[in-house]
Order: sequence, then structure tokens, then C-alpha cells
Amino acid sequence: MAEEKEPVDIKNSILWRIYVIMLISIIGAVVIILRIGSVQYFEGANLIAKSDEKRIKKIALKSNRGNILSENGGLLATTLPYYTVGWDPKVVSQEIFDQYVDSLALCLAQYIDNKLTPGAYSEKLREARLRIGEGQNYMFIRNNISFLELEHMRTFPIFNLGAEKSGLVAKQKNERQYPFGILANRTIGYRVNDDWVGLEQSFNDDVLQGNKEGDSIEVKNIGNGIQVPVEDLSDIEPKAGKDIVTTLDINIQDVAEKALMQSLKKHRAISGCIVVMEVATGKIKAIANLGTVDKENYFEFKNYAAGEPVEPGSTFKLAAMMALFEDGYVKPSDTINLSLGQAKFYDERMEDASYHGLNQTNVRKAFEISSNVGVAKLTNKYYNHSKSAQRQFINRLEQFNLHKSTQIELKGEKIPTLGSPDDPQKWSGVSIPWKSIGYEVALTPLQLLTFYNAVANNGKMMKPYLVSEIRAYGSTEKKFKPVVIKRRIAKESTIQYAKEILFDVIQGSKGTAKDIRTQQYNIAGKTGTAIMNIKEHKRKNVPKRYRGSFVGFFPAEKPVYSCIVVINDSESGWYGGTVAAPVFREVADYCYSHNIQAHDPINLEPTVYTDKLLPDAQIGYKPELLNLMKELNMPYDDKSGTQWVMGRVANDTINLLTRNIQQEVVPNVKLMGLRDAIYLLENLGLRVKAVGHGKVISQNIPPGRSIKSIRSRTIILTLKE
Amino acid sequence: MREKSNSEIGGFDWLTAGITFTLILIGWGMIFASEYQTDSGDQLPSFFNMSKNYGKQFLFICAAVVLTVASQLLEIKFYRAIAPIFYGVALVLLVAVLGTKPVNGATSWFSIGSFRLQPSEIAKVATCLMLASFLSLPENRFTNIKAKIQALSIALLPMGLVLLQGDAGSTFVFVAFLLVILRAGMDLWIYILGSLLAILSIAALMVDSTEGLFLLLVLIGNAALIHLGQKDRRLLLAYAAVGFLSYNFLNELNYWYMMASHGVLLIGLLLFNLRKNWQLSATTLGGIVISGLYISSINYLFYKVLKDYQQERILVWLRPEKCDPLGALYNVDQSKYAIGSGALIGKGFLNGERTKLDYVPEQSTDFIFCTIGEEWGFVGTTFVLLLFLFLLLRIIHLAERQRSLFAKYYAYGVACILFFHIFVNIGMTIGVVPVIGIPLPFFSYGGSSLLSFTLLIALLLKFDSQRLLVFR
Repeated sequence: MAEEKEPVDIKNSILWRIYVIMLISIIGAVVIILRIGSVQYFEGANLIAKSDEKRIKKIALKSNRGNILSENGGLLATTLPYYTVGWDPKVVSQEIFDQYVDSLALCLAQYIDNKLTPGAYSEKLREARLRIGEGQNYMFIRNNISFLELEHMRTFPIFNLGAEKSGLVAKQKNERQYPFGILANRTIGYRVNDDWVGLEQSFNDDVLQGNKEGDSIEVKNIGNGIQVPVEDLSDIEPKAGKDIVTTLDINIQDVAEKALMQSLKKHRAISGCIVVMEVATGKIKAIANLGTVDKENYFEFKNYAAGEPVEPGSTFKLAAMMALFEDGYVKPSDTINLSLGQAKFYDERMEDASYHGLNQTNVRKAFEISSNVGVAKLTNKYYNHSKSAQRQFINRLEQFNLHKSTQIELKGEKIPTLGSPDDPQKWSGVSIPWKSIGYEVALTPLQLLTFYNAVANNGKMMKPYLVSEIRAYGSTEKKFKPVVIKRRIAKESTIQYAKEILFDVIQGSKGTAKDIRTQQYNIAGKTGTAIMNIKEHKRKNVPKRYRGSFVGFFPAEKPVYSCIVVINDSESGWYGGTVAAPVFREVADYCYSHNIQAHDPINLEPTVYTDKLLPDAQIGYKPELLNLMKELNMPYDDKSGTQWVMGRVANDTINLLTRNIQQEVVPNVKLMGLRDAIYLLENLGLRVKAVGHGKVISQNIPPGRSIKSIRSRTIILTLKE
Repeated sequence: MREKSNSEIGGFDWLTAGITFTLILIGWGMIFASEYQTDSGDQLPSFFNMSKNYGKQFLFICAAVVLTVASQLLEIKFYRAIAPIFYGVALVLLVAVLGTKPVNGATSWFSIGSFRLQPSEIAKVATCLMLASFLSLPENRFTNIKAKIQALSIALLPMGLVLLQGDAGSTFVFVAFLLVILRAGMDLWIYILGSLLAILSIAALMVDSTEGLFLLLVLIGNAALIHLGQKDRRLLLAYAAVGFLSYNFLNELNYWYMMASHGVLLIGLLLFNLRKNWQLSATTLGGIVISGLYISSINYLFYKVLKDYQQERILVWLRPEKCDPLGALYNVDQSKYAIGSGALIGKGFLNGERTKLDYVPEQSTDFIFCTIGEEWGFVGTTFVLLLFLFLLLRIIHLAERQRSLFAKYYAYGVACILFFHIFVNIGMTIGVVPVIGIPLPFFSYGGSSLLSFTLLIALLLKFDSQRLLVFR
């Protein structure tokens, strides 16, 4: 070992070197201790607060919005994911990029953006690749691509390496889609600014939206990007939006919407609506609201059917007539003087819409031709002589529930206005006659339809409804059943009269809606032609603007659907019978031909079983026969006490009679099936030989013979179909 | 030699051994604390559960004790003789490990069953011995350039191999040997130059735009020329004031005016000094140009050469405002919060919420210091730091009392390695240095590191016990 002491002349050099090293150590130690002191002593509390702030983070809970379904499960509104796709050029390796960039460009140009040629796309990709590190990291590829398109993109060269290796970035956003477009659009709803309308609004909270906007959950970061919810800090649970099933029948809706659209366009009307209701339940099968600003294009943007009370005009006469019937003042057969369609109440002149030349006629006819004078004269006579009589008229209307809203699930329904004799501001001596023909009252088409529907439903008023079910996670959470608003709105006779006079509007020789008469089925209903600007018209003589409507039900004798059509401010046609009734007819035709309930009863009585269905004297093993009968829902009457029975067809049932099978004795197997016969005989110890197929028609050993006496132990059966 | 009593030949330094063992035991407790979960019931779980890190650490401690005893059986001569072979083996292992499957982005482990061996830990010990052996030879005095290059190579060769593994932390530790070489007489200017480069790099990475740094270079150049060329203190002070104001009121609008005016001054000064002292002018100009080029290229180098996670770690350190608090910043932030939440006296053993809830990742290995900080507070951390400081000073004391140059340089090597580990590890938990995953000596869980640190100390103790003998 050649150890050697360091020379003295460099001792100083050595010393300062030691000092440098010592100094560095001590500076290090001091820095560390000071820093720890500051972290632990001075910043401690502050840091803890900051830690929680950073570690616990609020995450917005975003639920998938529930779907809106039609009655038969069609998607009326749904939420679909859409993607914005970009590419991070720095991710893919140079080798792969060089090899596949042109193929990728080809695919992109072909499928994604055909404004660029493959060459141009390739250029663009290369350029993006060159610009790595200049701040902009992502190259935008396309907006709003669907999931399927995205899946397709993922098969492109380079992109098929997966997000990690290819740099393909897809950002998801959800968009509400209405697959049926305009159909019932306003009723189903949509988003306007920051709020919803229609069912989307009514069922938004707690149903469709799932978690509210702004609902959030607190999570804590536990490192490595893993987050777990902080328990007990929030009681909001993540939940998915629930689905709602509407009563809408998308086929009827389609027909209704198209028929309405056609009429609106034909008559260049400003707006219109149609509602189809199921008589027995109040289910709304179709509801369309169309409006325009240019009389060319019609959209669903306002809820005319349920949201806007209007003066109904002649369709309201039914209520007036029913009040008269109900009070026993009038019968349809009573005579009435129409004074040639002209009358004066106080200083107000009233005339019928068109000249009819009728003077003395009956109430029924007056209604059939929709005589204003007729109805007004009657109500004026019976309900205008005293305040109490006036009150009585209003009471009758209230009895028909015409003063209440329908409580339909759509927001913004208004209460009808009927007026009151105790309100001098809005009541005059002519209020009764005018109200009776549908002026000075206001109600929505839906409210009027509900009333007509009650008439069709023999006086039982059903609440109209649009949503029959709420579904959560695929199973029913809540079912909405039909709701009866009023068991009976009027006496049976009143309803009967009402139906009769409504029937004549279509079937009568002068009926205002006789044009929509059809041989297939009968329609009952009432036309309405209201002058929308009647007050202005009377004062200033401005041109009349008409509201044509038709409300009714079909088939008249056993109504299945009721329907109202309202067409506002048309340039031609004007009359309810001309602009609205044909729309009704079109919808009625469709419903009638497509709905078995609407048909006359053919083959709908309980099935009658004849021997054609079940041959008489069928013999068999009872448990099996019973199973069969139950399966086929056949009525039977078991009169037997044995395992083997014979069926006998009676009037409307099958009697099962005892068939005794004795041990030791050859049974009668005639009319049995071969399987039963073999089972039976072989159990008794006989061998069976069968000839032919079908049922047993003869056996070579007669019944009743002792089995022991048969040497061969063989029985030959002859079978025949 | 055997018949000599211990006291005659130097004696075993129980003090150093004691401090080391104390640190190891505290470390074991901390590993236990960082893995301890409240939901394991009132019953304290066994310290010897082999499925847990603290259980395995117990085995490692036993192994370390055995290793220490075993290492005392051999003579210093043997270690000195074996140093080149040991060093060679370590280099081979470092190369071999490059062929293994990467773990966490670094190929620095040999997996043997459930235990993993980190050859860079072995290389530390081997390099320390090799360097000490090399520097102790008289023909290797730093009077010739060859010896300087050889000495640097001994430290830089394993460092380069570790860098290839992608293990930035362990790479950094080899810088420690440069201090040993400095102690042995390496030229100081190399270190100054290195430090300047480091400062320039940090400065360039800390700013968004390097334009201000260019102005700063010109200002410093001017100041240097005035100071060294003009030797006029008042002029220097005046210029320093102008420079300070210029730099402070720097903005995008006036940048080019400032640059132009100070640039003209620089050219003037350069020309003025050129006649009297051309070396000064040339050095200044060269310094400015080279620094300027370096600054311009550092960003490019940073983003091109370093891997994403390495960039991130440095950005977390230099530009925390640019980092995602739940991403890259997360570790450092949570570690600071954990330590900070310990406040003055800490929450007590096994009461550290942040420790128990695993807020800080890697808490039984690289971030073990958080457990000390949270559960024992400032008092505990200071105590541990003082223990470390005491150990370091003790080792330097031991170093200086060695008569054998080999033992002396070896002791310095040990001190420098420990110092780097302690400074960097603790520094990173409180955000003083970037997060580079190196263990805290004697504390962090892990067999390779515990055994290598114990071996370092054990050999030192052996050499120290023979210090008098060797002189004879």
C-alpha cells in the first residue's frame, strides 16, 4: 500500500475544498429545516384547507335524459351522443405516421370531409405533425359525428391503433333528437333558450332529467387519477332520467298532422290544431298544433289546442241545447220559429250564417243547420228573463264542467271564461243569446273536446291525458290510469238528445257537415264558424276573420274516438264544414280502418264451439283433455268421475262424461286416438296392432270380453281419418 | 495483526453504528405507520406480516445486520483489491438490466420472485470504492489531465448507464461523486461552469419568453466589462441601477429600445476594452453568445429529449402554476399538505389521517418523510434531520481522521451519497427540488436501498476500525 501524506503546500487548497463541501451540506440542511419549519409551523393550517379544496372536487352529475315514447313504444324524443373529433398529432410514432398517413388521408377525405382531396388531407395531417410544440395541440377533424361514424373512423389506418397510440380524440356531447320531426312536436316539447316546453317541461323535474342541472357530487382524489365519492357530504345520488310513455299513437298523429297541414295550406290559414281522444279513457291519441308566419311553411310552435282559450262559436251550441234539455224546457222535436234567420235581441241584430229560408221548423233541424237565431231565441226565452234564470244557464254550463280546466299535463292551460250575471262589467242583456252560440265565452279546443267526449261517453267525463306510464331503468315505475272527472254530466235523456242532434249535423239533409258523410260508419259532431274579430267587425266593419272548427266523435252509435279540428283565420273556405270537417273525416277514416274497436261487431262475440272445432264424442284421458281445454279457453263441464272421459258438445259447453275402463275386460277404444288406445290396452296386458291412421273405428275383439280369455293377447285396431 | 486489540488498531465506532441503527428502526416504524389502516380493528396488526411492506422491511433489516457483521470479517486490503472487480460487475449488471422489461417507465430492476434487485444501488457502493481506490493512488494525482478524465469517467460511466435505464433519480445521485473528486483536487472552474449551466437552464425554463433573459445577459456582460475593464465602482453602481430599472420596466413595447441601447453600450465597451484587454472582451462576448445560444436551445432540448413524465416533474418544480393540481402537481401538493398538517408536534404515531387514507402516493418508499412530518410534526422532522446531520458530520469527521487515502475518499463518497439522497428526497417532499424518485436512506421501504446504504456505512466502520493499523 502506497499511502502517502499529502504535501503541505497544497494543505490550504485541501482545507477550502473541505470548507466548500461542508458549506454545501450546511446550506442544504438549513434550507431544508427552514422550509420544513415554514411548511409545518406557519403554513400548516392553511395547507390543510388548501388540500381539502384541491382534493375534494365537485363533479356535476349529468344524467342521460329519459326518452319520450309513443303508446306503442316508438321513440318520440331521445338523447343521442354526438362527437367532436380531433387528432393529437404528437402521439403517433413517426414510423407509423409515415407509413399510413396517406391511407388515413384517403379515408378521411372519402368518409369524413369530402371538401378536401386525399392529397390535401395528407398535407394537412403532415402540417399538423410539423407544428407540434407550437401550442396548438389538436387538429380539429369534424363536429357532430354520430357514434356509428365514430366507430367507423376508429377502423381507419392509424386511428385503429386506439386512442392511446393514435391520438384520435373524441369529445362527447349529448343532443336531444326527435325522430318524428314535426309530429306532435309542440306537445312532446323541445328546448327553448334555457327552458323546455311541452311534456319535456312538464316531466322534466324528477322524471326526464334525472339529476337536476347543477346537481353535483363531491369526490375526493385519492391519487393516480382515481376519484371516490365523499360519503355523507351530499345526499344527491346519481340517477338516470326516466322514460315517459305517452298515449300518442304515432300513426294517428301522422295522419292528423298531415291532414291538418294540408287544409291549412289549402285555405292559407294562419294556424290550426287537431286533437284526437279515446272516448272511453280520455287518452289523447294525437295532438297537432300548426302555425305559420308566411302561409307557406307550417311549424309546431304554439300550443293552440291546450293553451289558448278562444270563442268557440257554433260548436258551443251543444252546451246551450243540453242546458235546455236538462232543464226540460225543450225537446228536439219541439217546433221553433227561425224567422227566416233574422232576429233582434235588444238592439243587437243576429242572423244565421247563410240563408236557409226556414221559418217554422223543429229544434232538431235548427241545430242541424246551426241556426244562431234558433238557439239564441230558445236560450233568450228561457234563461234571460231574470237574473236567476241567467244564473241557471251558467250553472248548467258548470254542471257540464265547462268552467274548469282539464288538468292536462301540459303547462300553461288556462281556465275557461263563461262570465257571470253578477259581473255587470262583462254582462249585458244580450249575453245569454250570444253565449249560447259560442261568443262571450272562451275555452280551449281541448276543453271543448273533453265536453264532447263526455257526451260520446254517455255523460261520463274523462280527464284528457298524455302520459300513461313512467319507466325507470326499463321497468314500469308508475302507471297513469284513466281518470273520471265527472261520473255523469247530464241526465241520460239529455245525453241521448245531444247525440241525436249531433248525428243530424252529418246525416241530416241540410246538415252543415253533410259533406263528410260516409257509408262505412256514422259520424256525430258539430261544425263551428266563429268570427274571430266579431266586436271589431261590428264596430268598425273590418273584414271578418273566421275560425272554422269541427268537433265530434265516431262511430256515432258506439263512439271510440272523439276529435276536434280548429282552423284559424283562413283565406278561403271559412266555414267549419268546409275547412275543418274534411280534416276530421280523414282522421276518422284512418282510425276506423285501422282500429278494430271502431268496427261494427263482427266475430267479436264469445267464440261458439261447434263440433267442427271439437268432434263430438271425443274420448280421451281426462288430465290431458283438461289441459287442452284450458289452453284453448274452451268452456267445459266435467260430469265424469273417471280418468277416461268422453266429450259431448252441448249448447255452449262440452260435457265430459264418464267412460268406465274396467280391469280384466277389453275396453271400448272406438273413437280414441291411437296413442290413447295403445296406452290403455297395453296397460291391460294386450299387444296392439294397428292398421291405417287416424282414430280407431273398429276393434277386432269386442268390448266387454274378458282379457284372460284372449289367447293371442293381441288386438287389431282399424283406424281411419 | 489478529492479535492486536481493537483499541490499538482504531476500534469499532459504535456511535455511527448506533445512529444508523436508530434511523433504520424509526424508518421501520414509519413504514408501518404509512401502511397501517384504521379498518384493521383495534388490534394492532403484526409488525411481521410478510405480505406487507413493513413485514418485508423487517427481513431486510435482519439481512442488513447480517451483512454488516459479515462485512467486518474482511480486511480493508481485500476491499481495496476487490474494488475494480466489484466495479466491473456493477457495470455489467447495469448493462444487463437494460434488457429487462420496464417497470414504471424505467428498466432498473431485476425481478427475482417477488423481490426486486436494483443494480444502480450496487453500483453506488462499487463506484464509491472504485473512486476511492483510484484517487488514493499517487500516480493519479490531479496534476495530469489523464487522471482527471479517468476520475470523472469512473463516476460518469455508471451514471450514464443509469440514465439509459430512464432512472433520473439514481442518475442524479452519481453527481455526489463529483464532490468527492472536487475534494481530491479537481479544478473548480469546471464546477462553476456546471453550476452556471444549471442556473441558466433553470432560468430559461422558468420564464415563458426568453427575451428578458437575453437582455439580462447583455446587462450582466456590461456590468462585468465595467467592473473588470473600467475598475470604477461608482460607474458600476450607476450602471447597476440603470440595468435594474431597465429590467424592471421591461415590456413588449420597449423591449427593442432597451435591447438596442444596452446593446450599443455593450459594443462600445467591448471595443473600448479590446485594445487594453482583449481576453476580457473575448471572454465576455463568448460568454454572452454561448449563453444566448444555450438559452435558445434549452427549451427545445427540454421538450425533445426529456420524456413527458420527466418534463412534468421539472415543470412541477419550476412552474407549478402551469401544472394540473390533480395531475402532475398532485404528489408534491399532497406531500406538502401532509407534512404541513403535522404542524408543530404532529398528530401522533398511527394517527396521520393523510397517511392512512393514502393521499400521498408512494408513501412507504419515496414519500416516507410525509409520514414523519404528519405524525411527529416539526419536532419529529427536525429530530430526524438532526440525526442525519449528525451522522453526516460524524462521517466527515471519520473521513478526516483516516490515514489511508482510500478510506478517506471512501468516507467522503459515503457522506456525499447520503447527503444527496437526504437533501433531494426531503427537498422533493416539500417542493424545494423536483420530484425525482430516490429513497430516503434507512427510511424508505426497499431491500436494495437499505442493504446498499448499510453496506456503505458498514465498510466505512470497518475501514475506520483499521485506521491505525493501516498507517503502520
